[in-house]
Amino acid sequence: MSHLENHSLASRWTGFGAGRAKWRMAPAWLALLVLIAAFGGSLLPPAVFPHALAADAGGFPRVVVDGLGKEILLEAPPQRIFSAGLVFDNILLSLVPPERVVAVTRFAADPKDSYVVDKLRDHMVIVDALNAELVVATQPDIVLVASWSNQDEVRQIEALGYKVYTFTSFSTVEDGLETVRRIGEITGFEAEAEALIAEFWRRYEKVAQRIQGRERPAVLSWDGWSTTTGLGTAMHDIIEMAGGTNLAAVHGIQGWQVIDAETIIAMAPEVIVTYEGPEFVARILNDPVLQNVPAVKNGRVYSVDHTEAANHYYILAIEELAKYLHPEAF
Amino acid sequence: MRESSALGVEARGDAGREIPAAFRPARPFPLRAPLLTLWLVLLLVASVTLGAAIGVVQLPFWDTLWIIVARSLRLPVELDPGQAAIIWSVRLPRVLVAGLVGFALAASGAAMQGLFRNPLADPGIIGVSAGGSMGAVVAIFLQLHTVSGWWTPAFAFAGALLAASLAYALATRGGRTDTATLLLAGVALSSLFSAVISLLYHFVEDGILRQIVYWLMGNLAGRRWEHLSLAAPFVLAGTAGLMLLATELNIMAGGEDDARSLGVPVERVKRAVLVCVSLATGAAISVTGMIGFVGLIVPHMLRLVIGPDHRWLIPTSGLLGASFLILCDLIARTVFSPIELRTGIVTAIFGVPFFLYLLMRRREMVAWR
Repeated sequence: MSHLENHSLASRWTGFGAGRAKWRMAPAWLALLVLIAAFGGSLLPPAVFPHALAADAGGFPRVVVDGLGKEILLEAPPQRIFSAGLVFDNILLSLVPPERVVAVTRFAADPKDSYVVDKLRDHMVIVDALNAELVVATQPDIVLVASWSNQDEVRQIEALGYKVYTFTSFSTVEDGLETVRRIGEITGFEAEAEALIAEFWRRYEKVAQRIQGRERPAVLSWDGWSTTTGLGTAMHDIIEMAGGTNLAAVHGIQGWQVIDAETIIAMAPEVIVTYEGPEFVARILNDPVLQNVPAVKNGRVYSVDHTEAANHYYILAIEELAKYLHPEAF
Repeated sequence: MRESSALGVEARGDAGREIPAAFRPARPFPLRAPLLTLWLVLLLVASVTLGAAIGVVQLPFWDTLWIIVARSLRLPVELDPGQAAIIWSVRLPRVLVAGLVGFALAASGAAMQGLFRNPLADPGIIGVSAGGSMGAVVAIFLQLHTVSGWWTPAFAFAGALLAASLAYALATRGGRTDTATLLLAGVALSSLFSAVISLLYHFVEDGILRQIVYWLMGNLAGRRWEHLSLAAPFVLAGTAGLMLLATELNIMAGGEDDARSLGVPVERVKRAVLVCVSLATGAAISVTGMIGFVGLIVPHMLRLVIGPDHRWLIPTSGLLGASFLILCDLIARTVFSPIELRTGIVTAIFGVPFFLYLLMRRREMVAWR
């Protein structure tokens, strides 16, 4: 476990450079740091480094504020990042070199939900969720967790002295883009993050131009849990951005709500959209109760992928749905 | 109607049929219980060692032992900080909390089955578990868990005590507590609290819902030394109280009227048992959430071996319960690694078949009465 000792040495250095005033020191220190790193830290006593980490051309050290409002000081761009959620796996591995990610969730290896299967490397520890033992074993510079991570485990990891960044918002398309932006900020890859976000908006502009001025069909989302999505959900945003009107929102539904077949009949959607896949679509189309619903009558029930991406890949869902809603425009 | 004793203090067989060992009063071998206690202590030591030595991160067994010895004796030696953190700060507190909670639940279960003269009574039967759960869920619902980690246990403990007091108040008339009413009141209150918890599901966002589910399914992940020191005083006081009441419980197993005529202050004993059980169980579930079946099956296993004498049954149940929960938790966190099961799932998977077996045995007994 030699890397454990290295890490404790590193944290001893970084403890010295905390003063904000010293951050804007000459970038020459960075060059010195690279030199020192190249020759190995053990050659020089730690006391030589108080200023070494205090300046960084990339804007480190920096203070980031997580979803809970907690300030986290990052002395340098994290080199060992622990991800405790698929949403972070996807964005992290889209932004940073795989070498900087020490742990990913097992879902990152599942091509159904993962966008980064090809970025997985042997050195990465596969976790189910947050795990304190594996955090200690991988010695991360920062641990990315969600508000749905086990809070007791989060507290234990913080008590052990690790930096934990909690993300709290995953509901809307804007939340997905904000997660990309924040992970860029944490990792020092903000330019790359902004590029991904800009690419999202560039592609969305193309969609918006094509659907401009066209009539917006009334769309209802439905899934295998009989849940529809109202205001404040990514699916709502996707429907609206793809040129539809989200019926659930029109009827005042907020967030995710269970609705029954009766409500669907009463709402009379022109299009039903789901993420469940072709079997679920066939089930709706063949449901005797729903035969008088316009969407079913006209065969306009679609399954769209990427609606749960929680990142810039939402654009794929918007593009796909736009083609279903406005086939004549594409 | 004469009090029928499910625990068999007055058990007798009809037509020469053999009485199941669980309901046979006399211990055929007088040294059985002390010997068993010794074995259970050894089992507990082995369980703690195993629990600390095995985990998702594989560490050499002797290093593990050395870290535990060095840290507990505060030896001035250099330890690998990573290994020491995993063993001493992550794994050992978790194992010891599991042991403490298992001890509390099983010892309380033994006492409750004795008090209610009902083999299906568990420590939660008077509403303690459901009340504790509701307290915790309310704390999570109010998002107090993000303010400090101690609000959830505090609310859970308060909820548990409140529920038990309420059930007790409902069942007490003119200074006498009817155990059948108490049991029914407990069950009714539990259902009510469960319904309120389910109701809250509809009004919370995903993140909060997950925290609630972690709690309801019995959660030993992320336990720290603070959790142990928080629950230990109440658990130790409560179970010690139960052990002191063992003789009275033995006499009351023969029926409350008989006990009264023998000079046992029945109502005072009942109240004392309920207070002890509420303290121990409430404190236990306040640090881990609901963990089912430990309090139900462990005392029954021991009844089969050493009979119904509460003087031995309560401490041995505690010891076996501690080992049982530590081993169940070990299974939960290692077998499907990296997936970590909730400990409550493992105890239920082992508990349910045994519970059904008990039901079969009970039906058989009813049949020949």
